[in-house]
Amino acid sequence: MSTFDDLLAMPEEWEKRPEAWQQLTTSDILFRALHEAVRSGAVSNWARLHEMAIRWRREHLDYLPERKRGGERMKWGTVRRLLWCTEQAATHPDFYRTEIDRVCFALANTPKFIKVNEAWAWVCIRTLLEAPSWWAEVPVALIDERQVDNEDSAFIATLVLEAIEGRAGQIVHHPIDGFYPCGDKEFLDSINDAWTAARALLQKQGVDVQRCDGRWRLRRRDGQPIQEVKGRSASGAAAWGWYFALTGKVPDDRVIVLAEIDSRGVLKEVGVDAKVKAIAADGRFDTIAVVSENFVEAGRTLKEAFKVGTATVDKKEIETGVVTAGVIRVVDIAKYGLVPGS
Amino acid sequence: MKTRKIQMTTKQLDRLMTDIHAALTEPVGDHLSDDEFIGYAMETLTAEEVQRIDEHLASCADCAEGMEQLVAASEVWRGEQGEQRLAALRQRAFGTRTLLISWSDVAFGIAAEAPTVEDGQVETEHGTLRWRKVKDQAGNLTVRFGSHAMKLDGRRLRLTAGDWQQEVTLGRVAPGQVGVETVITRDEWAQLPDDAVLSVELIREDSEAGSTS
Repeated sequence: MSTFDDLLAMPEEWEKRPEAWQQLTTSDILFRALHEAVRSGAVSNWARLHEMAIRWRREHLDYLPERKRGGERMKWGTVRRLLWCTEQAATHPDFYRTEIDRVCFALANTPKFIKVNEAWAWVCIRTLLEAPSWWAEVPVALIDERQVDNEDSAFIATLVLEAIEGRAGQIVHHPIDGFYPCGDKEFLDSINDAWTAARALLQKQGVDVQRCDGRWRLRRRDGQPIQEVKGRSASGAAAWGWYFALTGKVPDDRVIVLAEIDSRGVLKEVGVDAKVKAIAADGRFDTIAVVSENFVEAGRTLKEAFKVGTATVDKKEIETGVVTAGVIRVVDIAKYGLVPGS
Repeated sequence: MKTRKIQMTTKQLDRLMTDIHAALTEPVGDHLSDDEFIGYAMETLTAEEVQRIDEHLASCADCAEGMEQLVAASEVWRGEQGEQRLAALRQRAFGTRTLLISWSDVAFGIAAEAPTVEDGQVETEHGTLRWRKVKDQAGNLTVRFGSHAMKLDGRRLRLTAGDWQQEVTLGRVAPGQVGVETVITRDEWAQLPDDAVLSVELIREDSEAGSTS
């Protein structure tokens, strides 16, 4: 029996099922097993695997108390989509390669649970087929909403952005984090706007990136996916990261961007106080890039963090757009620039 | 013995005679309490208590009448049939419990580096009851019971550790299976001693209690 079979198999004894279900729907174990199934071509009886998935629904999830059922059914939906995509990747890899294939996929009579997640399914299949990709990792400073009144509420996460030969120009949350969906529309829209802005900038620079799709992941420092994220404040960093992912270049890992980006690609201010303190405490960075509206506050907070003099930003620093304290400098994106040629 | 003579007026003598007659019609001692009524009727009192109550009953018409009615009614609780009725009544009032499991190695409230899982099973009069204990990294203990014996559907289990107690009811959790889950939080166990023993009892239901001989 393969690992994949082991994962999907539902224990006969009811009391053992919660742990088995948790193992199936936690972390990236299922995705990696599915990926291996495509790679090895070991699976032949897909109908049986689909039946195993359906059995989970009929004989376990449908019996859960109402308060638990909704969330677990969402996970089951992810299992079903992943399984469907894996079967497609394993049995019809040639259907998922070109622009024509992409159009056909959109027009095809796919199951409803795939139709409503069409972009995700396409990227998932392309990912399982190991379509060529380029990636960039950029740091983002986030606020832990549970400790929003605490001075230490900010923390540094990593946004992993990948451009993948995909033919449709859409981005999705990486299927490997399928069990950790992000539900905040503002955040999702902002990552999408960052993608649009980066592509528009590259288009201006004469780089053709229209054929690429994108996938993203948000991770804690320990590598765990972050699910509960809100707002647009990570979008400036995302735009910066998308730019590098789309060009196949590596961003400077000592730079962190504190800004948001709107749908027209205009960078805007964010709350910087707690985030600058977190960056100063982190120790990995030498440059904090902010918009002009945040420059004075960020510079002052940085000086406070390093206990530099009176912690005020002087006229000369404002003119040059650089404040230095300790080993870190705050730079004004408008004066200093952020990406080459922008 | 020295005799003492007292001179009384006619009026004083009349009053004394009235008092003596009145004393002879008053009951001896206090009226009987409920416990004394029941104890006397059920013949559970000591000889001294019985003698004292007999003296009171001889002088108190009210208590004697009450006792007569009670003794007549208590006949229903006497003999073999009466004992059975009493036993059924006790079971109905208090239920009966069968000890199924006693865990002394739970190590309550101690967080594990990784979740630990333990499985087992126990026989009940209705069929095999399986159990699973899962302790998570936060120190919470999840206990699950499951069975293919559908006769256990609706049965109650009582979990007890020191002063802590919880009752859960087995119900349909999958086709052809009953089960129930309970989570005992780390905070709950913080109130108990380290060596607390967690016991699991199966509670007999009212309808079964009467059939016990």
